[in-house]
Amino acid sequence: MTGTTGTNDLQDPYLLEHLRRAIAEDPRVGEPAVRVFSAAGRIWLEGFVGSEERRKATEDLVAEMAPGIAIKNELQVIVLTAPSVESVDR
Amino acid sequence: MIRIAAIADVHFGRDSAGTLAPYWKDLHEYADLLLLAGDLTRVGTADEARVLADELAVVKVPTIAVLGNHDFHSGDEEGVVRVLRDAGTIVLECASHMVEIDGVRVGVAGCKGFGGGFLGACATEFGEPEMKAFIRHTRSLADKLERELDAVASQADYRVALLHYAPIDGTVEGEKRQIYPFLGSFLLGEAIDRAGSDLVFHGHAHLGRERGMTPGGIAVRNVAQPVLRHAYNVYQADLHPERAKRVEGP
Repeated sequence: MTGTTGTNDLQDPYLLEHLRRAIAEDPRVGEPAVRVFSAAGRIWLEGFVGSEERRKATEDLVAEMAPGIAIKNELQVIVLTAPSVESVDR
Repeated sequence: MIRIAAIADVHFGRDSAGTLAPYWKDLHEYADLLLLAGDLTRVGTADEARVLADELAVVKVPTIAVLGNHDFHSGDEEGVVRVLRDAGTIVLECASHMVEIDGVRVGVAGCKGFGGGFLGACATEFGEPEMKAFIRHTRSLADKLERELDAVASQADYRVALLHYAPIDGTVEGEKRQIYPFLGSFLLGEAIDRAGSDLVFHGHAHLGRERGMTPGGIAVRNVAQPVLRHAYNVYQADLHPERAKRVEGP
């Protein structure tokens, strides 16, 4: 779970919140950790998702709910690296 | 030496096949136990759990899991649990399990946990029934976690608390403060400090940080995958000489 950026320069002051809820709740996406905000009249998507399919599904959902508004999809697919080891002696 | 691998928030869906098995197949070379700290699936369906179960088939060490909020989303958490248990994963729903690693008995007390907020800004059981139910749920889970940690205290040489929600605010720093009450509760941390534990794992806070400590001085690790950016991290501990002696016996 994560927070969302509060800026909103769109005409509908509630649109971003509806998008955030839909991105979390819509079973096609189910990504509550996506940050949604607006700048320069565009909707920006930021954060990490598990696959390219989810990155695309998130953008498609936003496009469906906000027709005519440009979308900047900055979502990144998590790239895993080798595990690290930490000593946790007490 | 105890070597514990941990990860949370893998959010498995039907598109996740093959993403973790390449990293998990040699996990036994680095760790003796794998802990999954909730949000195992994307929207909590048995189908998604099946994809994860197939992925876990390559893991050669005991695997212990708790559920997260995502695993409840479709109302089929029982299906998720059944699929994982059928595949050999130990799923703890406010329960504990003992694993012996190289002669050391590791007791894992696992519970999803819930929200409410942290010290200085937390919700209370006051007002509407819904508000009371919210905090009562957290309190009930914290009480159960404490009981499970107590239950393994006499037999375990090393105790681990496994949660999905955070027990302290230190490891959720980075998230917006407005949503802290939905990320965890001090009641979980208090229960852990009261019962005692050697190490605590949780997930849920994707923008949080990995390392923190309860007010009682117990190490807490947020192992959410977006925090670790790994398939798992390994946490290893040498037992204190006094405790090691107890493990070896007279």
